[in-house]
Amino acid sequence: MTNHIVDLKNTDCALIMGSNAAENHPISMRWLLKARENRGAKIIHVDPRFTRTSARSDIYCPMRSGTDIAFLGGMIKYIIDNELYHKDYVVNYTNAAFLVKEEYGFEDGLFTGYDAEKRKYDVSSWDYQVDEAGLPLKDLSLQDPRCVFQLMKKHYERYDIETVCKITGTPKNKYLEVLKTFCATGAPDKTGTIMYAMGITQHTVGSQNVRSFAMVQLLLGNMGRPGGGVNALRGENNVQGATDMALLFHIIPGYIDSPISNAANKDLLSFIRAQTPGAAKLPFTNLEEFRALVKAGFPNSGFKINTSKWVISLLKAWWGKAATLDNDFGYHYLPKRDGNKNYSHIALFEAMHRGEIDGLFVNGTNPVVGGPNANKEQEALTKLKWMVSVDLWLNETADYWTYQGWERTVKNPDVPTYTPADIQTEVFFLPAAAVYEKEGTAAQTGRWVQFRWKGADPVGESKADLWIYNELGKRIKKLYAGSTKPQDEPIVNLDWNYDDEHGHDDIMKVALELCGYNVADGTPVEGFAKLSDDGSTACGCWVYCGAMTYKDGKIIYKTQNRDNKDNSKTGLGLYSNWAWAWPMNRRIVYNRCSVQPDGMTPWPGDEERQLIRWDPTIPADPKKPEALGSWVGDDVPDFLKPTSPDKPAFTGPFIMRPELKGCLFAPKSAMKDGPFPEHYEPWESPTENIMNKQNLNPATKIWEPDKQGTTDKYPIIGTTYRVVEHWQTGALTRNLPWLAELMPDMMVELSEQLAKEKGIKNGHKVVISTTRGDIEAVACVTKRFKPFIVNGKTVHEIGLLWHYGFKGYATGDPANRLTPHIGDANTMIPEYKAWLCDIRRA
Amino acid sequence: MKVTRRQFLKVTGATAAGFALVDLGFDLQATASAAKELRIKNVTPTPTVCPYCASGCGLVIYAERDANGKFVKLLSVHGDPDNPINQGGACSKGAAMFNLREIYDERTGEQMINPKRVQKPLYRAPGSDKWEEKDWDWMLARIAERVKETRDSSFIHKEKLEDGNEIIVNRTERIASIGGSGLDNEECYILSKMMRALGLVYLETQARI
Repeated sequence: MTNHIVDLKNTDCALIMGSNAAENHPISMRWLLKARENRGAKIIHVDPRFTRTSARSDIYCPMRSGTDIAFLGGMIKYIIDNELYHKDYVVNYTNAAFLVKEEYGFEDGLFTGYDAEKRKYDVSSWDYQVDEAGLPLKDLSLQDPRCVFQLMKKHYERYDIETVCKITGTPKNKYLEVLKTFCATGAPDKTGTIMYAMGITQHTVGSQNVRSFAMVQLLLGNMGRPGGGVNALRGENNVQGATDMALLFHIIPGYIDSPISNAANKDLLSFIRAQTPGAAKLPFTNLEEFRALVKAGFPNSGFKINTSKWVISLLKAWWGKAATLDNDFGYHYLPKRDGNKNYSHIALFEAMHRGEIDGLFVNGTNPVVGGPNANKEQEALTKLKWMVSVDLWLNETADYWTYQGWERTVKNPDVPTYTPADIQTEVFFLPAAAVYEKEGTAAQTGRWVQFRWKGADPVGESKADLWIYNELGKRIKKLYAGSTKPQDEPIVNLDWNYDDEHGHDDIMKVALELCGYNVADGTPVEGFAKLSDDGSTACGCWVYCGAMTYKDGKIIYKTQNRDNKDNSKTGLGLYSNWAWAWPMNRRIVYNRCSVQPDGMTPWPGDEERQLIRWDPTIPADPKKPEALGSWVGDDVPDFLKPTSPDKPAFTGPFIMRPELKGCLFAPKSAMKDGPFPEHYEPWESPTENIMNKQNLNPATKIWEPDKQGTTDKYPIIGTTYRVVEHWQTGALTRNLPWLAELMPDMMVELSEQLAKEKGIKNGHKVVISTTRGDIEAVACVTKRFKPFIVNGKTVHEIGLLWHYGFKGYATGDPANRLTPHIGDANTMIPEYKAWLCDIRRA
Repeated sequence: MKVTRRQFLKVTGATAAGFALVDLGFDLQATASAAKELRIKNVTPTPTVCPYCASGCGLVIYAERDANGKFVKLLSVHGDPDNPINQGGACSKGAAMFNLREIYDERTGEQMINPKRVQKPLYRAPGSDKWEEKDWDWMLARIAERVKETRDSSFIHKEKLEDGNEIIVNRTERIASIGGSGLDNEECYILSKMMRALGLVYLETQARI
């Protein structure tokens, strides 16, 4: 979330799309209902199915799964055509005025630079025109035909209401009602929020779906303001933290790209050059020269000009004393991946299925239920030599090798089954402690990092994951101790000292390293502005730097703060003294946008929602009373307090971007599939794409061409979702008697019309099939699904719960035995949410 | 026994420094007599955060401890009234968190550890159709050996670049790690650090799926 959960109460209008907030993030709905009660806010729900969220909304608008860009592209057109955009905001805070290279173009669904064989774009034409100093050219009147605003206007000309509704299957009057209601938040005194979840991201165009949200919110002036923002309702309690810590192949902690095996990454200096925006062509041959350039500042860099400090502090945290200037601070110890390979979840299981992976760690996850194409992923596990599963229970993945694991309710010769004797995997199950049987922090969806205290002892011999990995780390290090092979240095030299004086793991030691310490005396670094690239600071994840402080001889972990008084003077619910939010306890990111370009004047009529402002009369630092001018306010500004009107950052709210502006046009390599979102159909779609000549996102990888279902055999759209009584693969809910009893059975929802066509009645057992497999479920015939009219034809959509598996108190077939191995062009998030299937009575 | 709300919620232990629960204004004495005095005898409340969706609702664990402060059993789990996100509320999953550890037997009503929880490390040998209980030392030592064997036999130390120069790549593609989004930050951090030091590039979490 750019904003946070409590902030939803400050909105004038909420657009909920690809989320069933009332069911899956119930507390978020509570704050929205407050916004309606107290401010008369409107709530809009756009979804293929009428849900509990729809029931609480002012407007429910149906939309076929996988057509979000058509829906939102039409919204962008409506905003521009009716001049509903927030003009001052758009001109000053976005790249609308930037001129784009003449070479850039778009035709028949393809952007310039497409290579059909590689299914890849050469992105060099997707860039700004620049002056001699390399700074982007602009037309602040937004009239130049090459400016982003005009190109965007032209791009979305095709997205008229008629065409959009043909694609999405939305009734025109409903669509118009949504457009009018949400786009009214473009008024300077109004803000609107967008809330989304996996209904948006789990598509072959998932990233561009989110981009479309960002564009709408930038046009309406809703970013960086209370009651606004693009707000992902994340699904796992610490998925934010796991991402921050880079449990993902493409990054290292703090959102820095993981190094690749190529010349640009061959040593530390090259890596820093590649990772620091604006540094590519600068003249420097060593760190000292680079440091001087950073100090003087260089253009097109933004806040990432500080990347070297984050990288070197990270290396220092990982390899401690062994990380020195002479060995590139241990940069070579970092694994470098093959730049031509993808290592994401789908790719990982494809490689495993080919027998290319021998060992697997499974940390509280359950791909036999939750992975796409779960039959294939379960089969892939049989190729492992060893597997370590760390969990509270024997979930379906830990028990994948059992007889039960290979039982199928519907026999299908194309789906192989195994017996335990066939499976040569050595499986280690390590029992983990539950959340309240240990202590540690979790970052919730609004980036608040909250401490969880230990309220009970672990059951039996179960242990906290921290203990498990600390112990395993110690044992692995012992096995390598004394090795003199260069390839073992990353382990031999690894700084791994998390025990207290009694030999027990000490969470505060881990936290201190992760939040950052001064190497000389071990005191916490008080914020990432104080990190350095000379080896004097160590910090495992720079975005968490500042979460620890030193007071009266004691280290304070601010995540433990429990002062729940709202510190905002106008009742915005910032709660800045409750826990700690990254970065730097900022509750709403890009908060510079909550005040006009002059830095001092609130948006007309919106004085109460101003988060920060420039005060030229007071000093930023009380120790330097002569230096007047400081940013003040209830939230922490997105830049240093003394950032004065002569600094680019003063009018650049989006500090992590080199151009410091919100990107209506995503330049260069920001996106792999185009600088503007364009509508493409899902991989398995019931219709042709009528917006352009490409059916599928041209830049996404096709893993299994032979597994693409077509409408002759599979005419129905399938999608998946959750219920409030269960969570994800059900490991943490189907093993709980109270929850198992509340929602005991796997079910599929279908419309009355489809049920009639297929002779299915409520409560019947039915079989759902795709090219990947078949499952059984209980039919729930409901008015919540209605057929769509798509390009003049009737199309049915059904919805399945994906919580079930063969373990626990409540069991059922996993819906993911049906879902495909294909993913988003940028992230490779699987397309769980739109595929083709058929349904029949069992 | 007269207990004020503030005393009732007093948390012990070093990590609870800085912990300040506000007065809720309800009369515990009435609650105590209604719920039988035994239920709240030696109770310690501890704040935690829900392990399900990422909203970050606070929950309070009420546990019975003996005179030495040793944990005896759970009493209940409730929404944390002090947490500004949920202000005491809990959805059906949050309200069922008690069951993560303990349940009431269906027939006898007896309170017991959730029998689905695994209490000892388990080992399944290749080709076997059963789990065997093992001790932690045996398991961790054997896992460490497997890691070393696989890493060492598949390790790529250097690669040749297109320009003919060599680059140190220090990676193995034969070990993978998935999951972790249910772990605490500190756990994710050491996991990320250890896996990367081993040279893993197949490193993924639930953010991807």
